[in-house]
Amino acid sequence: MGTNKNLLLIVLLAFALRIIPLGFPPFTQEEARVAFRGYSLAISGKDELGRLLPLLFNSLEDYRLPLVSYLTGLGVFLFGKSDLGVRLPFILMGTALVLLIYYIAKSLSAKPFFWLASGLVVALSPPLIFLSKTPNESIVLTFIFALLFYLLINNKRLFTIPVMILAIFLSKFTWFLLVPFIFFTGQKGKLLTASLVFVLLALAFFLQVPQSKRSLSENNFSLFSDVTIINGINKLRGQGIESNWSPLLGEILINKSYFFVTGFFHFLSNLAPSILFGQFDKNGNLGFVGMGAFPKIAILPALLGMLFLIREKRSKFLLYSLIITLPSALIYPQFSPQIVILAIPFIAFVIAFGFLQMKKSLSTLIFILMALELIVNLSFLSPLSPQIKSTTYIRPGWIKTVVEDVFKLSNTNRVLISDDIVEDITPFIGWYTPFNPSEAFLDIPYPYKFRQTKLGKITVVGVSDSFKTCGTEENTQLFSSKRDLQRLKSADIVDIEKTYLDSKGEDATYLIKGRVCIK
Amino acid sequence: MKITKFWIFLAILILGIFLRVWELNKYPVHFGHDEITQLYDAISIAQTGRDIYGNFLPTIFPSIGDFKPPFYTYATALVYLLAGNHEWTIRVVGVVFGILIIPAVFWFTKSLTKNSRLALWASFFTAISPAEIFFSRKSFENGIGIFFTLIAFVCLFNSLGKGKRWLYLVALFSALGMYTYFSHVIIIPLMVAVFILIFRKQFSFKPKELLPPLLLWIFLIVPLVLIFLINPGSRYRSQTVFITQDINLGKQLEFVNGPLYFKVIGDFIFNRYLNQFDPTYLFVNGLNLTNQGPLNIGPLLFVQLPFLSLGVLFFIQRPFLRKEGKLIASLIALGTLPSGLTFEPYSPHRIVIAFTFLNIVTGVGSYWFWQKLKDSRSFKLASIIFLVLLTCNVIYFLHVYFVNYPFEKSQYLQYPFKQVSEFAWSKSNDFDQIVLDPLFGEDAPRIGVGAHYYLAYFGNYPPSKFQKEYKIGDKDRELSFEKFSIRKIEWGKDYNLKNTLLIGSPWSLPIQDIEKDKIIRVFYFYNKRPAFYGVKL
Repeated sequence: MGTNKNLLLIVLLAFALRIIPLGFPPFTQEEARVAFRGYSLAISGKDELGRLLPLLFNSLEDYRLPLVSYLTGLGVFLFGKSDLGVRLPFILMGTALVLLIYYIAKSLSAKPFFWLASGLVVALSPPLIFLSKTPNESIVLTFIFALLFYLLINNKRLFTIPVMILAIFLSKFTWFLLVPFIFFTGQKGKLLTASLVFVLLALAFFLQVPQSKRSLSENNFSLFSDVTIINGINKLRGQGIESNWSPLLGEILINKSYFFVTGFFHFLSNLAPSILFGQFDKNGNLGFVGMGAFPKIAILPALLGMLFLIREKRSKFLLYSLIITLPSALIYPQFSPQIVILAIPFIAFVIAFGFLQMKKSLSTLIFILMALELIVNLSFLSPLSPQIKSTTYIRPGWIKTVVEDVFKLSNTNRVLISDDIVEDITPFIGWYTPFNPSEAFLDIPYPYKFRQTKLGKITVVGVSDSFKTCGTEENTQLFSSKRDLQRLKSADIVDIEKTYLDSKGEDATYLIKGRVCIK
Repeated sequence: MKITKFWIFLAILILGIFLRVWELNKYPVHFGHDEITQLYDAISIAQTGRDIYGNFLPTIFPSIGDFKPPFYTYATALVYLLAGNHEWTIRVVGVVFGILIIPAVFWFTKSLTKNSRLALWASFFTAISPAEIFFSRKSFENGIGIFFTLIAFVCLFNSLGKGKRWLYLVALFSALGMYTYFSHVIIIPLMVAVFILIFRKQFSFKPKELLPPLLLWIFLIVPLVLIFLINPGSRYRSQTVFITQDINLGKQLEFVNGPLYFKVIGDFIFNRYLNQFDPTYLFVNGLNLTNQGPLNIGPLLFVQLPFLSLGVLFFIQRPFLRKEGKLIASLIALGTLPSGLTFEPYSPHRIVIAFTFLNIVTGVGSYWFWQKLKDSRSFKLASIIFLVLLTCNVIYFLHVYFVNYPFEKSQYLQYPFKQVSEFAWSKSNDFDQIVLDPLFGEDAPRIGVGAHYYLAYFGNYPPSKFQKEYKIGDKDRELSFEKFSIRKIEWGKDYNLKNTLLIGSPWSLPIQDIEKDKIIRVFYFYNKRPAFYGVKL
């Protein structure tokens, strides 16, 4: 079979893996928010908070840059408010990434097998499959940096500038990555200067925004705001003094240089073999539970690929994975799978180089085993699978039934819903129901980590609210979490009308019979 | 070895000895469960030929229900016969073999690379390695196995050029290594097999030449095989530490059944195995000597990382060292296996042998670095930077080990048990019975399951008498001998006992409600927080 036919098969396989099943994985609250925002932008040009064509968006973690939200809006605009509309732009981007990797591979080796192997490895990478199925910035960022790499190594400077600008509007990580990446790829002239200017401009504008410093400190430089390191330094020094060691010795040995040590090793741990081939994301949020960035057996060609590159004195290529994940050094203590994903294409090339060192029969066997592992994981995607059960809180597919009932009742009643049923219920109500976005518009110019608590007649109830029995003219229904059920029980005003189960089959939400109001 | 190299080696050895022996009687600050149990069993064996439960020359020691392999206890019995009864007696075997690993690493590396300078570097990093020092000082049996394994490999290398008689020594030392530690039973034969596979072309012995050493090896390991086949304790031990005991795996398994069950276990094992190569674990916090997150100690010094990387490059880039590179990579991979199969996320004590080989690779990298730099202008500057960083890193480790570790892990150390035992004996004539509940800890309670060993040892109680007096009682967790009852204190009932000394922690005793004059003694953790109270009734 010719190379082009093989390529077509690989691209079709990648597309199939990314589109089937369309509804999997269920959205996180953040993805549901982007989906709902896309819908709102598509129908009115305003985001979910009522701001006209904004450049900074809201999320529970940080400000969000605009590109992904507008891309989602485009999908909804073209295909309607549906899974297809929201997911398709990312499915297409994930599939196009496979094609792009094939073309980059052509510049790295003259062997057609290497081109195809590179594409196939990316097509079979679980996190790339996962992230191609939901609205998120990681897959777009991966695509854009792969595109930049392609343009840079092929000296297509004319196209590089617009791609850099797109990247600047995509994610804050770009601001920390772009310059070292361009520099490392060997560009030291105008392109490097341009990238530096773009980044400085972006930072300068961003710093004008309220809470921008907090946003950077909490999300991009959390290593320095983490108190465990400084507390640890003080504690260990104190024990030294208590044991009659010289305080000076304590200061020489145990000091703030540990921020550097911690950041450096944390950065390396982000790329540890267990992340790449064992378990990519501990929560199972960005990949299958029990699968790494690549199927397990891919560790063999990866090792061979590394040996090959070192022996051929091309070890610089191995450093791309490190350069592109640099920002993870400053994000502590949590891991940053959303950054590590950028390294996957570069590691895929290493794996493909490894395949070149093998006999064809062995390569074929390993590819079969890679596909098999993926198929096994996909074929167990029933509602009862560990994948669905273990992500019941992060990706609560079951919440759809709850919010549909919430919305239905809100047509005739005022509805209260507990705020700890999932991390944030409001995006799910917006996305899974025919809720009209304009009913929730607010006047907040720069929402940072803003949590909506009122959507029309629906009010989100927190732990600070207390309950009472409604008066005769009040018409209110409560969807309670376990926490609030306990509080109702202690107030002796509980009678459950309906129970909703989560993906584990455990009670998650209760519709309370009778009228419960908040004081 | 030339004279200069000899003196360098001697200096390295002296450094290694100093780091392992200095203040050995004081640090570790506590007498751990494993230490007290093996020491008292060793004394029992030396005096009576039986362990404290009366088993004659056991091949596996029931100890505190953890079924210990025999080598360390018998070796300590020998030390006891030679040196008498001291608390440090138990630490002698661990330290001696911890020191012997340094020359063993030298010989191994020299055999591997045919380069004695490089071997010096490897032995230097072994001498100062946190993992080697830490485990040598805490009476840990793994080091003995590592020593025998390295010597077995030296003999294997010698057999390639110098004939079959070396194979008898391979059989002897590899078999001895297998008796020292449970996981060595599996990994040492695998390591030897990998060696033979990699060097199969040079390993050109005829079957009839191989047969006698093979028969010797089989003869030597027959008792070990019998231990595993016959003794239920060894199977129990394997089951209790197997990965299926992991809480997180247990949670995942709750969701599955059928073929998925084995898939989930397989995925978990693979991930755990790879986790052992996490750089943060290896260089920053793997030994877990503090509670301060990244301010901790890894099995390797973090200044080793660049040299370890260079060592890897050295093996990869030299075609004439390809087999040697394959061998050392395989030994590291195999040496790490035990930690991947057991229930703790990281268990450095199970894979010390892998750290030994990583130290060797570090030595190789340092040698290469030195070779590259020695003729350059920046040699002096690089040497100074290297020495300063290395010295700071080593002193930091020593600071954490000698100063911080006893404070930080205070509640996990069995530090108070010596005071408790000595006090209990001092009061034994004043009370009808002494009840000790060994439940202790600050954040959470843990049972000090070796309490009867502490009481017997620190009371100089003759093992022969203990074997007769020791009883398992009817009450919860009850063991007893003489006036001592080691069991759960049930305050509601025990409150009514007469002329009794109760010793328990706040987990067992309602200290706030007990009249102050009844509390006759408080026993403290190393960090000076109360661990146990002595209450007279």
